[in-house]
Amino acid sequence: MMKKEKHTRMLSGAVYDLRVALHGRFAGKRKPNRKFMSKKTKDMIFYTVLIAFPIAQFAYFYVAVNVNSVLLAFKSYDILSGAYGFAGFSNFINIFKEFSGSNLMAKTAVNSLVAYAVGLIAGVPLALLFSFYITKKFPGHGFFKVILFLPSIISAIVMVVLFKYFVDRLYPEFMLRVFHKTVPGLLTDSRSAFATVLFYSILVGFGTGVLVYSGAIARIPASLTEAAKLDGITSLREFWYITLPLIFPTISTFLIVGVAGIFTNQLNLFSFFSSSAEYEVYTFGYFLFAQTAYAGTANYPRLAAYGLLFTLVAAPLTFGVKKLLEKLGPEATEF
Amino acid sequence: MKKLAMILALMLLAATAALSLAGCGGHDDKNTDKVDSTRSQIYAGIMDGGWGDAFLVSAKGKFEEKYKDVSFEDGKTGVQVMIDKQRTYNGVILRESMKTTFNEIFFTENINYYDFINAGVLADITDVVTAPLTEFGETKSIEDKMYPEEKEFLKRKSDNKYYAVPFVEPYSGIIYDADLFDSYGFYLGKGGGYVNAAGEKSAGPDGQTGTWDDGFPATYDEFFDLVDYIDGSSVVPIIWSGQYPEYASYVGTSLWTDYEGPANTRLNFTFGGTADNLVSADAAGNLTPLGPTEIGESNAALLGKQAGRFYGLDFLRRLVLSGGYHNLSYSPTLSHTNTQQEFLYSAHMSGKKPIAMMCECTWWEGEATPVFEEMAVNDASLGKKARNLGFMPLPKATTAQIGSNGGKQTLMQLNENAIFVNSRTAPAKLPLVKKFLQFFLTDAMMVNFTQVTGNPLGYNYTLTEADQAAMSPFGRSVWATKMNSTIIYTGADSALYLNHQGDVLNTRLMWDAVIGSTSYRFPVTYYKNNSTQPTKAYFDGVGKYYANIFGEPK
Repeated sequence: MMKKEKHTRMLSGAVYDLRVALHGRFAGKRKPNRKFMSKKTKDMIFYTVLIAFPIAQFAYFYVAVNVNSVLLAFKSYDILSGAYGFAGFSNFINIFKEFSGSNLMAKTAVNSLVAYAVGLIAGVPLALLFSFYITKKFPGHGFFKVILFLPSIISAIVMVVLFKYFVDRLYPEFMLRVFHKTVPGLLTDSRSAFATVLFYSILVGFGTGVLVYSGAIARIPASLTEAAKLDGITSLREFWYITLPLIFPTISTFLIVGVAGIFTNQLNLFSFFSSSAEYEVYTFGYFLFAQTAYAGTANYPRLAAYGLLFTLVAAPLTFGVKKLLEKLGPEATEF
Repeated sequence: MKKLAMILALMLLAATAALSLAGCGGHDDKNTDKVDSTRSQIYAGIMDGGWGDAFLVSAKGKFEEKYKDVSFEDGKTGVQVMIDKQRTYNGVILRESMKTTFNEIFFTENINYYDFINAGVLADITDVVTAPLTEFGETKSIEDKMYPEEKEFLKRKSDNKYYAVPFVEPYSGIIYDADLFDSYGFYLGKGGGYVNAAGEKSAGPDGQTGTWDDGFPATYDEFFDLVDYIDGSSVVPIIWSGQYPEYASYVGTSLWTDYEGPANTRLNFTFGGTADNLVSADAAGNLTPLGPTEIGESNAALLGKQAGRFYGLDFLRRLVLSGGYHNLSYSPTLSHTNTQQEFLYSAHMSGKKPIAMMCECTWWEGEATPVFEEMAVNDASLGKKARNLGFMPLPKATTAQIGSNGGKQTLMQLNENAIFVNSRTAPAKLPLVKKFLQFFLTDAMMVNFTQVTGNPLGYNYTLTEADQAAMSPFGRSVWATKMNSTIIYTGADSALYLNHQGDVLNTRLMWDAVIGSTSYRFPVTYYKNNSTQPTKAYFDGVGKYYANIFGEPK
């Protein structure tokens, strides 16, 4: 036992001596570390690798798709030969004929604009108020939170089915039993169908709005509101003079995105009526979706022309609203 | 309190999640076979629709048995057919998914044939379509069993090749509860009045007694007298889906084609030939013939003025004004499957009024299979094969029409159905897949298909009395319909048809109208909201819509 311990000590002593000798030989004489690549190059490679995939994806799924759609709007398709030809502006001419042939597109435009306007006038203010209420933890804020977020968590089809039964079966039954009045369901009655769908759309739309607005309100420094409270500010004045100006950039983002959505908002019509919605309730989003879902390739150029026309209206409108909001909105920095 | 709220929220979420799953329809019977590596596989895709997949499971079993000792690939003996049933296996979505799917043969609907060919997703199957089915003991080929119009359309003229063959042949119309008709005595009696099934019945629309349509309304007038009579018997005369009002429009389609007959109806797809039933209408419903007119692409819009359209619309208008429809027939909560459920349960559930008829298509019985099964759990007499339900012969617009077209109805084949082979099928597997296609279209298997689904395939073939005995009463009545009708195949290779097959000329979408400047889709909705308007209003609207789409007639 003692012998083994002695050998171990001798070995570790020898290793130590070797290390000391090597240190004496090379210390201070190490060659400068020659870098394989400069930091700038390494950063560039990292950056390239990081964004190559998103850029490729953007190039293919956005740029290429949109360029192709723009080109398609000026083509025709011969279904017998499967060949595309140059059509000039004939697809656009046909669309204008469709516009003049009936008021379907005018009705669709009105519905789409009404949907945006109602969202703007009713949806945004209510979402802001709910967000303020929840963030300030007023009584029952937890209940409102659950109720307003629930539609965003539950499957859209389930929500629509529940709502449909509520307004189209329960409501007439309620009216009959309580008021002894026979009334049609709110969706059955063509006079109230669009308003009902619109109401639903606003209702389920609160989830996203409240989530984002609440986040923005929560970032307002507590010291600011506390100082205001010491000065005796009421909740309403706090909302109007502090909260709204400070989260205005968030609000304006919603408003701008909403303008672009005029031509894409389906208003959940497919969930309500599948492909059998009446023309009375059509929006541009549903129109394009329904047309594309059943169209053959021969119809794609016409639909591409529709898309291009919508973009020609939506793009300047969106930029216009952006400029307007920048000009009219309060000068405030969001925290 | 917080904990309680959390529990309640979780329970609510669980309940809604369960509802989501139930909403999927419980189609969990997707083939779960495991791949047997000792056998060669055929991957078959099928649209999860009204016909179900029982017919394919049946064909699979028979095919696998027939070739269990045959080797199609080195080191393998026998065949295994793998079935993949999906709702998305139809239309444009299928066209795109075929570019990546492993499925080799498809049985499906909503096929824009030339679109599929141009997309390069269909394999050339000319060899097996034109070859006699001698291997299966038959002398005819698949082509020999097809209708002339099917051959003309499916054999592409530019290369004389087939890329698809017809599949199921559905029709639209009115389904009636024969048990209810019998117990309440809703059949028309020979000397007037109403009788039950054992009574002496009227001659029906073909004008001859002792035939398949005895006791049914011969004219629209008789039909609406019957509606009034049923209504007065505390029975709901008719129901259709509020969510899909096209099921009511479909009835208009059948009445339109029945009035027009085969030649005039085919014009709506070929756009070439003489139309001899074009009319103008006045508000009182008087029709003025426009005389025989040669139809081409330049005046295709004139087809919106076919008298059959007027009469089909008139029927729908009268149906709405009669008030004899179910109170949910305009509610979007009433889907097609809810409608079937209401119809089937109505006569067997206390607190409900029985429903005598339903606007539907021949595929409905397959879709309603879960309801039949559910009802049969407590009472076997309510199962699919026990209940007497039938496909009603079409009433005629006028007495002059009774017995027209040799007593045969004219019906349109719906939904552009087809069977085809995926061009991505490995060359080594192609002969086997094509053999399965041939096997599926042998006479024996076509009979099997009809027995299992209660629907005919779009071919000429026969069923014996014994074959029919294995079918449900409804299936037998559909077969009787096929035997007593001329079926219109909707495919045609006119450029106008092909360019509008996806939108205007889809068999689902043939009743658009522009009235004033307002667009309408469904006649029954229009007449509910505009009950004082004459048939002429919608009829002229259809003409205007056609003119908008095809151009003013020149």
